[in-house]
This record gives sequence, C-alpha cells and structure tokens, in this order.
Amino acid sequence: MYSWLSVPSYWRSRSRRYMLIGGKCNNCDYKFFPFRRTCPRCGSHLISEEKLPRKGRVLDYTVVHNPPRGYEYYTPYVIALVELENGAKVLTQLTDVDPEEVKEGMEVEMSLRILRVCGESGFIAYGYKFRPVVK
Amino acid sequence: MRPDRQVGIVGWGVYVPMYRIRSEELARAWGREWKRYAAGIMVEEKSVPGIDEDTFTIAYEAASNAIKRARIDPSRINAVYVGTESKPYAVKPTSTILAEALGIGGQKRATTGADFEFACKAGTEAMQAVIGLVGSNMIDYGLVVGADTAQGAPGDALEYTASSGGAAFVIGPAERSVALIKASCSYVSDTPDFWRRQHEKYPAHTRAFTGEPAYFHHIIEAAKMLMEEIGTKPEDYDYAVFHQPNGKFPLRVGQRLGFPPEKIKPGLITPYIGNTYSGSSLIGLSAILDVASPGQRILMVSFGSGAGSDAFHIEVTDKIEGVKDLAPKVMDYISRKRYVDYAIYARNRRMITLLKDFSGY
Amino acid sequence: MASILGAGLMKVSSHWNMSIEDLAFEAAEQAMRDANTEKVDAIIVANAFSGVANGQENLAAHIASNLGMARKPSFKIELEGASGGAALVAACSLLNRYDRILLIGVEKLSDVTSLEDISSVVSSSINREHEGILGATVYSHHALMMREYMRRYKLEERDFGHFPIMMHENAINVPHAQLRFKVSMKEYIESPYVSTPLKLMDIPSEADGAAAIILSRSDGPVKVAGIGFSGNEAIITHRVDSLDLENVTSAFNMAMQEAGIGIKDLDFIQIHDTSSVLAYLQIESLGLSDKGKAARDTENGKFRRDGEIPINPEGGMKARGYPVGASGIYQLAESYMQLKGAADGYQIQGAKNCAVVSLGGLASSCIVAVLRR
Repeated sequence: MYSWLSVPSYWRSRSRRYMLIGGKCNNCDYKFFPFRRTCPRCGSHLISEEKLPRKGRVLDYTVVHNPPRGYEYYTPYVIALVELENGAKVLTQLTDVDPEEVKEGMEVEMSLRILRVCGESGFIAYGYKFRPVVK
Repeated sequence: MRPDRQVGIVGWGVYVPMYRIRSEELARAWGREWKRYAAGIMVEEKSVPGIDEDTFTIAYEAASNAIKRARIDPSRINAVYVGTESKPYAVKPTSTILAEALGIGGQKRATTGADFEFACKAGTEAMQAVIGLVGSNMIDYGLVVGADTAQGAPGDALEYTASSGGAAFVIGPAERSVALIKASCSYVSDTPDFWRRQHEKYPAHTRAFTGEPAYFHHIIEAAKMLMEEIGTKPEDYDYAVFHQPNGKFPLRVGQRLGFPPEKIKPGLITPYIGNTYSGSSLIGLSAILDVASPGQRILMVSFGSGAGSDAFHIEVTDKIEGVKDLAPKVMDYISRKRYVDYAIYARNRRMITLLKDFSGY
Repeated sequence: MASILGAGLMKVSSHWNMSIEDLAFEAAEQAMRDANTEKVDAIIVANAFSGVANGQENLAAHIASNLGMARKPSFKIELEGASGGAALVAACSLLNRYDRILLIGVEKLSDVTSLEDISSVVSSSINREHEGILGATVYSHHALMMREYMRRYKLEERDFGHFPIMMHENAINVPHAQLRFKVSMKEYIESPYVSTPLKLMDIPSEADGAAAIILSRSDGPVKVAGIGFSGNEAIITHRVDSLDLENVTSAFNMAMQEAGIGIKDLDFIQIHDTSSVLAYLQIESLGLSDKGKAARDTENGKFRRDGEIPINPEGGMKARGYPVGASGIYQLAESYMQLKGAADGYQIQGAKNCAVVSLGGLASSCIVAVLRR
C-alpha cells in the first residue's frame, strides 16, 4: 500500500506540477508552491493561481541515498529547495547534474521529467525537476 | 502536394539528452575491435537519455524551444502530433501529455492530438498532417514533434546508432513563417527492411537489405517526385537533409541525387549523436535553420522503414534572423555532453531490471 | 489535575515474535501492575503507522479486545511522532468522563523488512501528493534543514556529532534502550549518509516498542502540571523560514505558565530528537541555548545527565530507540520513573519537575507537558 501511486491524486494536480502553478496572496503578495487556498504568511484567503518563474537558485540540497519504494532506479538523486526568481520556494529534484557538482546558489531552470514509473504495468508519473541552465 | 493556403515553419526547437556513449565503448562491451568492426558507419558517439527521460520528456523540451521561437501563446495551437516509434505507453497518447504540459489549446483544451508511427519518418508524416490542417484553414497553428529513445538490441549492429533526441516545429500561416514549406510529397511501398513486432522490446532488421531496396530507393524516388512536380533541380537548393541512420548513407544518397557533401554536412548530425529515428531528419533540418539565411532553399527527405519517404521543399524567409537565438541550438546540445560507460548506459536505458514488485517481503 | 498512577514500557527492539497487539498487552499489563489496578475506564492508543506499516486499522479495538477489555471505550490517536503527546492532551480532557484512562503507545515497524518500504512508511508523514511524489523523504527534509542550519550558523558536519554521542552515552545504563553502546566522533563522521549531510548516526533506527501509562483524576505520584500544544506549517516550502520552530517555544511557554514554574525549576527535559539538527533547533527554541549555539553547549556537557539541565537521560529517540507513535508515551513513562526515583542506574537525583516535548512531522505539531512529583 505504501508504495502505490494513486492515479486520481496524480491527475488532479498534474497541471500545477507540469506548469509550476503556485499561489499568490492578493493581500500580502506572498508567492508559494504548492498551491493552496490560504496564505502561508498572512493567512488571507484571497489567493489566486500564479504561474511561477521557471528559473531560480539552489538554497539547500541533499543527496538521497535511502529512497522510498519506486525511486530505487534513480538513486542517488538530489532533492533541493529552490528559490525562484520571484522569491517563491519549490521543493524539487535536480537532474542532469552529478550530486558532487551541486552547490548552494547554483542557477537552475525547470524541466519536465519522469518522477517514477509504477512497476512494469503501471502508469508513468511526470513532474517538474530543475537542472543547470542549458544556455 | 501543395496546400491551398501557404504555410510554413513559425518556430523550431530541438532537444538532445546530455549523456553520450562512445562507439568504442559499445564495441568494448561486446569484445569487438571498433576500428575494424564498424568505423565505416561514421558514428563516433551517440546520445543516451538520462534515467528520467523518455520520448515525452524529450518532446516536451523540443516543443518548449519551438514555442519560444514561434513567439505565440500555446493556447493558439490547436493540433499536437507526435511522431515516434518509442512511445512511453503502447496505448495512451504522448500528445495529450504534451498538450497538457504546454497548455496547448488553452483553457478550452481545444486541440487535436495523436501519436504517429512510421519507423523513422513518423515526425515528417506528422508534419504533413499539420500542413494539411493549417493549409486548409482548419487551424492556424499546429505543433509537430519527431522524437525517440530508439532501441537497439544489446550487441546488435543497431546498438551503435540507435539514440535519443527530438525536434519540434510550430507550423502556421506563411505570413508568420521563418521558412515556407512550399511543397511536399511521399513515396511508399511494402518493403519489410526493419520492424518491431507488437510486445517486442527491440527491433529486427535485414542488414544490407535495409540499404539499396529500402533507404536509397525510397529517398531517391520521393526526392525525384518532388523535384519533378515543382520543377526544381539539385542546383536550386542550398542545403539537403536526408534521413541519417548513420554518417555514410546521407552523403551517398546525396551524391546519387546530385547534391555535393557541402550542402549535406550542415544538417548531418548523426555522427555526433547517433540516429534519433523520428528526430533524425528533423534535427538535421533544425541545424540548418540554426544557420540559414533568408532566401535559401532546403530539400528535406525522410525515410521510414517498412517503407516510405516524405520530401519537402522549404524556403527560408527574412523572419528567421530574429528568432535563432530565442532557444538553444543544435550545436549547443551537441556540445553539452557527458560520457557514460556501458554500465551506466545499460542502467539509463533500463536494460537492467530491478527486483519486480512482489507482495510479500 | 491529572495524575499518572503507573507506567510500563518494553525494550525498544525488533520483537520478531510479537504482534502489535502483543506489544501493547505487555506494556499495558506492566503499567496496570505498577499502578496496582485491574480496572481502567477507557483506552487510548497512540500509534503512527499501523495502517501503512501493518495494514491494520481499527487498531484500538483489536488492542482492547486482546487485553480482555473489548467492552471498554477505546480509540487511536495518530499525529506521527506526536501521537503520544496528542493522546495525553485528549486523555486529560476526557478525565471528567472516564476516571482512569489507559494510554498505550505502540509501534510495530519490524514487520516491514525492506529499506525502501521503511523509507516509504516513515515518509508518509510528509505531504504525499506534493512532496512524496518528488522522491522526497522524511530524511531529505531533515537533511535540508540541517544544510540550512549549517549555512546559517556556519557549522560543520562534526558539530552535529555531539548530540548522538551524548545520547548513546546516556542509553548505556538504560535497560529498555535499543542502542546501549558508545559511539565516537570518528564513528559519527564515518557513518553512512542517509541523505547528505544527514548521516545514519544523526537519526534513530526505526523499531518496535510499546509503553503505557495510567492517567487519573485522583491523586497519584506524578502530576501533569501543564500542557501546551501548537502547530506549524506541514509542507516545508510553506514555511516562511524553514528553521522556524516558534511553535515549540509557544507550546513550551503555555505549559510552563500553566504549571506556574520557570525554566530553572526543571530538573530535566525530554526532547523529540528525530535528528541531530531537530534536537538542536528544539534546544534553542526552548531557550536552553542561544541560536546556533546548541552544538557548542552540547559539546560542553550542559545537557549531560550530570549537566546543568539534563536532556533525554534515557538516550532519547536516538539511542533509547524510536517507536514513532509510541515515543511520546515512552517519554511520559520515563519521566514518571525519573520523578518517582525508579530510574535505577540512570536516575537524576531528586528530580521534581520536568518538561516533555512531543513532536510530530518536522515540528508541524508540538505538545509540551510539564510533569511534577
């Protein structure tokens, strides 16, 4: 049970995950990800959807050596907190980079990658990941 | 075949994964001396997808680049056709994922979408379909992708060339085009030179038979048909792009048609990244657009096993200069590379299987 | 005011031979024997993962039935690591309905044998739809906080070794502790990475355990003198400052105010050390160290059993062991034993007051209880 991935759960947030759509507080202008209907900073309910910038820099990162079920094939992989150009923070995997090359402050941009493949017969989960800027 | 309404390429974009394996390393894994065995195919190295890449993710990157150059809102695109022979799902379109991820068709999700299959020419075939839609005024803009993570059986000759990458094009009305597609035609026949049966992981091929009766015959027939129809000669073209299963065939077929190597080499990409199948001739075309000048003419002829060829007559417009730098070029992707050995290659290609899921630990 | 009448706990270990009901039975029976009672009025079970790890829900009914108390009211409370603290809060407010409440904390993780599955189980505490799907784990969250803490206060990996070293030292004389051996700084430094820079030595090893206490409104040897409860954003990117554990400070202040005592009156503190960095952040949020100075204070022995203000005299989650949902009840049972003077071999002499910090998630929930002899 703990390793299964629910299709409806994936499906309902796919657009926000594909396009990095977060929340913007119309009261205090705070931008955040993932989207929700209350502001994490001021508590306002005046939230609208906001397409977030695709570029940012690495705040903190970690190389995962102890993956959950379903992520074995990708190990070791990098999980990072990225601060986007508008200040919103995103939790993300970093891809196209050797773990040793990752540095705080490194500039990264969004791409879409396979998050996991559910066995031989299950569906394929795609989502945003960040990578060093191509050019 | 010419559309009623003039159409062209509004934006182009490519993507090539950053990993490479040298042909020499592939040969080493199978105990072969590279120089003696296969140096004749003129492919020094080939691209290898990252472990989290597949045809969809490649198509997404290429399409994003094409849309950047097209400078239009994706909501104005109303067709997404992906040509590939390595669909992530055997049944479930790649095109719908692409439409969702790029916002094609806008909030109304008003878009037609389909995956095309015709071995290595699925991408150009998808391009013809979109030319038809735009050319008949059914839509204004359509997105075409040719992308693959091509499979070559371990140890097979195909393993030296089968690679990964893709190209995408936004097709639209002539007045917005950076290159006009003035005419196109196709030639097909039942020629079983290469195939992959349903449920099989790797394709089978007929070695030398894939050459003369398949590759050469179809490309030459389609190219001649096009040039006859519109009354052009090889001298009328500044560039020629042919499907590139290896580094040798395109030069040879060009020679037979009367195209000198200097018109072919700017679009000859396989020596650096291998054969990207549905992406092959289209990445070649993109490399030419990356450097082409207004007024130049391009002949593109694809080839798909089984078999058929699509030929295109393309003319570059003066709108091209402003958009070249809006996205990474083919050369940028070629030079962005990291070598892997056979072990990492096998892992990235998921040739190594892990413990299958079982319920009882 | 609520009193603790008795407590029981099992050694934290892999109890291959015992089911989750067996574990609960053992701890409950010890607590009832200790309280010298055969009758309770209700049962509250604190547990985090029986659904995902054991495929067992309706857990309280099964545990009550196994205890021969099928007719008694029983229910489970789940708040990940804070399940025990939350069970205490619930029990205290139910005491005007039920006079004697049996609180059982139980966790059975050894039934999950593979590393990936354990990682999945314990990572079910982070947001599944938005964080888990990325391949993030509860460890990668701890690691990101550790990296941020290192960056902010200019610390090195070895600075985090002082805490686990102290915890292992404390656990040596504790019979119910899981890891009763010393570790050196060299062993800490060389320990494998779980999620860089977080090392195996920074985190507890998941295990089985059960502890129980009997809570009553009638007078008993140890009283619950104050309780505080406060939450924090559960998704890491929703925290304006990822190192902000303000809720620990406010829960602590609430509990201390209710108990009417000051920090100098505390004889020891139980914190919820699910990683070295989270231990340091708690120490600082409780006001025991200045910001960024918990490592230095730990190294200087301030929190040793014989130090200025002892922390986790039984070895904490790190060395006593971490049966997640049961851990809050372990802290209460251990504190009860300390205050009663029954912590033979690891007793803090004359202890009268203590604070227990029970944490869920990465401090997304914090319950603080002040206990008094």
